Amino acid sequence: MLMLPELIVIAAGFIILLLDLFLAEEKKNILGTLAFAGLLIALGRTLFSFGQQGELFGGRFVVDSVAIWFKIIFLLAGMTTVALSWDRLTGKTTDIASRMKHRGEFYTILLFSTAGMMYLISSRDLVTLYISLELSTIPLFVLVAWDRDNPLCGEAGLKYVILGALSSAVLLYGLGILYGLSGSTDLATISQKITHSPALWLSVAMITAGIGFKLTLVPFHMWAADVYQGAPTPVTAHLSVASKAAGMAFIFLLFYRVLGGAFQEWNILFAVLATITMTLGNLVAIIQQNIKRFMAFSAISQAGYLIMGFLGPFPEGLPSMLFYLYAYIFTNLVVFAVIIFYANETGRENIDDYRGLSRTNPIIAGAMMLGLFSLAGIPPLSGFVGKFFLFSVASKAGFHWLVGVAAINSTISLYYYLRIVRQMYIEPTMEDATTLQISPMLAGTIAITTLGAVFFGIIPFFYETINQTVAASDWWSVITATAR
Amino acid sequence: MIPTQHVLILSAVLFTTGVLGVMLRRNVIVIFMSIELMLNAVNLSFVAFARALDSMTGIIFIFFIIVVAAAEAVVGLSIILSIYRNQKTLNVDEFNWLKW
Amino acid sequence: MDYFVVLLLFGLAIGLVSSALWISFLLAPRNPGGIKNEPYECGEQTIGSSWVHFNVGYYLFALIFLIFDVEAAFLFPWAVVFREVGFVAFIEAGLFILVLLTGLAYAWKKGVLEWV
Repeated sequence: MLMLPELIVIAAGFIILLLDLFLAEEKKNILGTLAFAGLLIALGRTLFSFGQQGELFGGRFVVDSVAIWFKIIFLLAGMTTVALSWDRLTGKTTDIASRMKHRGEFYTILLFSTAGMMYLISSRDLVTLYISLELSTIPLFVLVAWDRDNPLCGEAGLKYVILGALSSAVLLYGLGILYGLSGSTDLATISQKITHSPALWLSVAMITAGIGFKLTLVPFHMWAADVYQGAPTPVTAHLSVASKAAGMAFIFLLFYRVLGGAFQEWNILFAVLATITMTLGNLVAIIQQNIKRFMAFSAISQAGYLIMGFLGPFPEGLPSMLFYLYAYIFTNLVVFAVIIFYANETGRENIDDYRGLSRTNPIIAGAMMLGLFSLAGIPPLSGFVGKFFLFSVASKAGFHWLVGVAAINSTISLYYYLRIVRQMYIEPTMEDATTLQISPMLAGTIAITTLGAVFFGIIPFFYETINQTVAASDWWSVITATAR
Repeated sequence: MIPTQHVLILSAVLFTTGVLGVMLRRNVIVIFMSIELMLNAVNLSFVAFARALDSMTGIIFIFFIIVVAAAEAVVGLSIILSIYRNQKTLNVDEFNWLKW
Repeated sequence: MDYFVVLLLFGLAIGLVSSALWISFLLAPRNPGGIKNEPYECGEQTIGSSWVHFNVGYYLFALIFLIFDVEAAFLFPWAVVFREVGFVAFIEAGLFILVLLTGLAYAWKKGVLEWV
């Protein structure tokens, strides 16, 4: 029964695929409902299993509280993507060009990718780890190239598939060396048998490079801007949230759980990566004109903050990282929901096009402003609280210079997030601007994600819960066992 | 009996050839072939490790890698095909509409 | 002494092939012409360039073949130990094949298997 959420998601995917073949075109609205319902039931089952621990297949599939927190992220991201793509797939957008076709396949592939991510965080074996990583990534290649008549979309898909396959091959070579060094693919055995050696460093470097691609860490980020801009916007939203969380899950399993207890030298590696990632992401974001490209660089700099959670004395980093991940997905999805709403109605994607939005649609502009402020880390929004916890992790680990760099970067990021707020509130309204009608689906998404972005930070209950459940789970014992 | 190091060196050389192919070649199909070469180099290193360690796990891993490589190739080739229908070119230098 | 047989075989192979070529050179009538230099000579004059694009249907078949071909590799290890692994593994393999069949049904319904 531990695997029930994953099985529900996969079964829903297959049912949608088969129904799509036999349903008439006008009845296909039920497919979206089914996808949403499948994810919702899986989410309910996941929440219900809180506090349970257990393993299947001889310890190759493990459910603990960390896995459950990650699975909730993946399911929430999947549900939001279904909601965000609803109008485009049902052809209800005012802008014809942003409509998308083949909705049955879209939902199926999205659900398979979500299932892959859910298996990823539960894996305790290199084989299942690699397979589930690929199961989560390969569907994303397809989703990015969805709109095949659009040359930008095709180019984005091509770049993503080439660089994605390249990075997964590099990652695999690293995993191969790890297997060769320890003689086992079981993560617990690896963490006991592994010792310092130059080959281990090579393996770590290759794994970091491979997974840095998914996380958009800086030397491996160059695909992000092109892919984010070219992909259909709901897919971009999904990439910026779910794919990043999957990368975090992978890096957590390998560095935190397996290699972390024995060696803390990775700290300096992650500190340097975090520094260059957030700095470059921020500096390049300043000069962007297209809002999806802008969000790509914003997401890169956020990845820089996120990996600060891997620094330092072990038990503190993980809850802070999870909390920031939650704050980040809610906040990022608010911004993407508004971008999708605006593109659906007008087909416009440039930052200048948002001028005067506060006069035509004041509530939506307000939600967008809250989202951007939370991304920049303005108190009391969740982004600020999350950054506060992450910075304190880095500070406890002794990286005071990193906290300074991160604080300066937050200030820079405030500047460019305010650029959009300025367009919406200060610049004169566009000549042909009228009040835009928002569809109920998008309105609901914006409302729920905005509430999440605001209250996740204000109510201390969330951080407390994450902290307690994570501390209660026995993931820590693996590390202490190896540290001895 | 071939020493394990020799196999590993061959695997590293093949892998590097693949990486260079991805970076230097301009035809998308050739780039994909280079990626397959990289994956097969990894397979070779798994075989070498599995024989040196006398463990079957590495061999089982290879089965899965082969399947993943096939899935990646199918998705990649489908995307290439759909691009080719629109653009009538396979030269990566000509895919440059996305710029900052 | 062990390798003498190999050497003998080597010499024999070279001798046989070169003598065949030499006899053909002696006996065959020589009748050169343009058609004989075509890449695929079968008595007909070739029409047009050989750099034509293949029908896209070939690619779809090739892609589907690639997937099913590789998945079949999973069934061989199962078939070898079929008696030892028992009924549970039989169910699991059935599920695996069911997933593949879903893919096949999808391709069929979408008309990929029709030759156009």
